[in-house]
Amino acid sequence: MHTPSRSRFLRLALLLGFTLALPDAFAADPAAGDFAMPWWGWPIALFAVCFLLGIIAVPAGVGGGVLFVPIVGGFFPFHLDFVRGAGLLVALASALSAGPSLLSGGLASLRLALPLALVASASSILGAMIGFALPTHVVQTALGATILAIVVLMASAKKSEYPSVPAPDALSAALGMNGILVEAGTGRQVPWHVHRTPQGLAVFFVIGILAGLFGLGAGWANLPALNLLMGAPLKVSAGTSSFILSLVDSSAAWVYLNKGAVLPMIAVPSVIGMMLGAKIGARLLRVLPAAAIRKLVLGLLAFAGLRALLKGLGVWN
Amino acid sequence: MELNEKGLGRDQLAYARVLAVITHAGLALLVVLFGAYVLGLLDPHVPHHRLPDLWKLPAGQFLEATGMAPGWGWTALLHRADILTLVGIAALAFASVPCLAVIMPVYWRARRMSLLVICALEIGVIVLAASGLVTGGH
Repeated sequence: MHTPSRSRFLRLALLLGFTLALPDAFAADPAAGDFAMPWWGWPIALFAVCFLLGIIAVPAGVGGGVLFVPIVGGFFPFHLDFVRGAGLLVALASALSAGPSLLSGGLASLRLALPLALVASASSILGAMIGFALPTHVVQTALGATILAIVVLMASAKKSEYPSVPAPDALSAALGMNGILVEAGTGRQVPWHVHRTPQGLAVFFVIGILAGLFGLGAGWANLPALNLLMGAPLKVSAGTSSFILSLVDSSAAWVYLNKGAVLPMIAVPSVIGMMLGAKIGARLLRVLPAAAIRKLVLGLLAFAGLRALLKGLGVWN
Repeated sequence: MELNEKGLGRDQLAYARVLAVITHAGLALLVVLFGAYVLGLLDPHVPHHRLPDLWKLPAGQFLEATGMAPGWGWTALLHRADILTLVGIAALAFASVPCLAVIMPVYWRARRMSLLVICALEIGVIVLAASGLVTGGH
């Protein structure tokens, strides 16, 4: 027997599948000819897909950017340059919007974020430049391989509410990368600090390259780096991860703007759709089955990653 | 640096305040400008009906096909609706710079020179990316 939440989940999955299939059907069929979608159909379809992606991104615990690039890149007729540019803006706008409440609520730490964001934002410029220098099929293939690796990482990565950090390292102590987390329910104050800062900076350098190269929001990598590697509490890691994106994606976004890879007709409906969807997703957090949604998202990402990989290899165009 | 009852410093609260104002203004600007573009209130540089043929091209070929220059060349066409929308996008991409600038005096007064330098470098990175000097935009 279907429970209400399962039936809601099935309806959402069907709606998402149908919405994704529509643009691909119009774009992939060269015989569509006179029946090809008019120009205004594309931003509407994009808005609808991003709205649904925004709804499922919140309960699945992923950022919109990582869903946007492989899915829109795989199923819409836009060149990957424009999809990567729009993906960066989707991630940037979401991170900027969430930033004030995360910072003023103590769920993001400015002083933890600043050094890491500096390294990642500099390397994101490098990543974006690499992305424009490489042939599209190479970027597409690398994107597919990266998305499949992200699926494995997301499915297997552990989390730790309060990781054990015996002592801060010298660099994090000098930079004041510590704080106090006030638990919402109990009001308990939990002091925290981090360690392995040099290793963290090295990891964020690589994260920045990937963010700039593919236009992905990099929350999927920021969170485990902050939580498991550097030992920040899980809530601080999640909030700071989102805040870091607002700085990293700013510098990469300028590279895409300078290269002419930001098309308002693609970027703006995506940003608006994703942000409205995320608001609905946050409201539905209690009624949607989060575990099932997460499985749906991982399945969707695996499919989109495989599509990107095969498209890049010229197997499935 | 003094912390409030939530364990937050003045730097973090000041950053959050400025970010809230700029982000809301930037998003509102983006929606208004895009509305004018999509509803045809202003003429676009690239007609709407040409877009499905052009957005399949790589960005470099798109610029050539539409007669646009890379880098800040788009600012010469701000009277066109599609190009004007880029102002809203640029505002979001620049939003972090005023926030960083606002907290620098806080770090100066608290003698946190390492954080002051990090903020200055972060502003430098964003401005460098925006300038197009390292990315071949000019």
